[in-house]
Amino acid sequence: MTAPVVRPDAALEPLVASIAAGDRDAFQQLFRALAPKVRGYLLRLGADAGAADEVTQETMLTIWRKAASYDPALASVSTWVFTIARNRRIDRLRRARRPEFDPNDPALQPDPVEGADVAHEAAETGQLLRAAIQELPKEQLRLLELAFFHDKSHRAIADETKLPLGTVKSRIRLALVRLRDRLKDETR
Amino acid sequence: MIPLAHLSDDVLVDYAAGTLPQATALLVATHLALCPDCREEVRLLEEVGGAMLAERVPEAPADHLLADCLALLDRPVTVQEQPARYCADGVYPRPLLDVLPADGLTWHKRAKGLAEIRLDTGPGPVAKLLKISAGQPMPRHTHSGREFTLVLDGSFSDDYGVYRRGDVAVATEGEIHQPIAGAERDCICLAVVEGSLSLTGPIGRVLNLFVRF
Repeated sequence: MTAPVVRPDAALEPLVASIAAGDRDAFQQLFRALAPKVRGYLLRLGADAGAADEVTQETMLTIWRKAASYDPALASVSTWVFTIARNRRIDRLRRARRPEFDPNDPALQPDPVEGADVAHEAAETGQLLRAAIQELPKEQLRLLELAFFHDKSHRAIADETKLPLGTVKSRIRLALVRLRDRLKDETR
Repeated sequence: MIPLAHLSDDVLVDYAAGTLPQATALLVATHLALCPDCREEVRLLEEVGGAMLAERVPEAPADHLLADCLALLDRPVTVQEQPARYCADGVYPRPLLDVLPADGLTWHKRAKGLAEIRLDTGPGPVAKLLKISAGQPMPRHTHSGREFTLVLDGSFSDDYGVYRRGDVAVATEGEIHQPIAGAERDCICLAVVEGSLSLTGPIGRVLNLFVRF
């Protein structure tokens, strides 16, 4: 790492730690910082105002209950909250739990042991990604956003944008290659 | 053993974004349990999701929502999480085990050397466990959507190579193929077909009546 990375998201980490200790003020602060973003995400995905409010509330309550399990080494706070909101939304739509792997499963193929030079703070990764995402060509950014913030699979995006499915896939892949390269450069 | 045949970016993006149908998401989650490389990829994609959440234009909820939340903080959780159940012989990773019957597996014979168990993944694409007898070819077939086959035990091979535990074979729409189970032992797979499946060849056409996905 050459230059120190500014991490606005890092300001949220102590809040989550306080919430884990039962601090209601910290919860209110995190609510004010993130509930509007979560609600914006849900509305963008096509939820009506009532459903967006309900899932936002469930997301915030899940944060309260699970704050102790948040690990800053694994994900930035925004990412952790994104996965919670995504899962709550799916659970509500399908009335079934989103399938996820269990890190404690004895059947899990363990991660290869990483060298200290490869280990990288997840919150920094998040910040780098955010910068890299802003630098993506508009078209790639639009497709990534469509993939993440509309309830649309690649095929549905192809239908909507009138682009061939192959083009959608290759542009999204290109965007990801660029992000990955950017991360490699920064962490070298 | 790290799997060699991975899932492609587009499938992992849809999984991270939460837009895959339940059956396909189950297959992806099961592959992730067996594949550290794809887990790392999904972690990166979730960071993309988190970064985009952070950049979202805020849509402030009504004032009462915070008060409602605060009132609920101390409410005891009524729905207890099921204690985790793990597979004794390690064949079925957790996300898959969660949708398998707890009282043992009942295989339904479908054709010579082919048995299956249909899994409950709600509406949409169907997920099945397949057991193919050692050395047995699967019926030659094609499908109208993507077909994913994840090996859980044993192995199978097709025109592209050999697939072992954790590997996923993806057949695209209209592709005709005929996997053959490895001779070492029965092959157990998780299969998801996003469209309808039909068998080809003279015997296949008759079998179609029985093996509909």
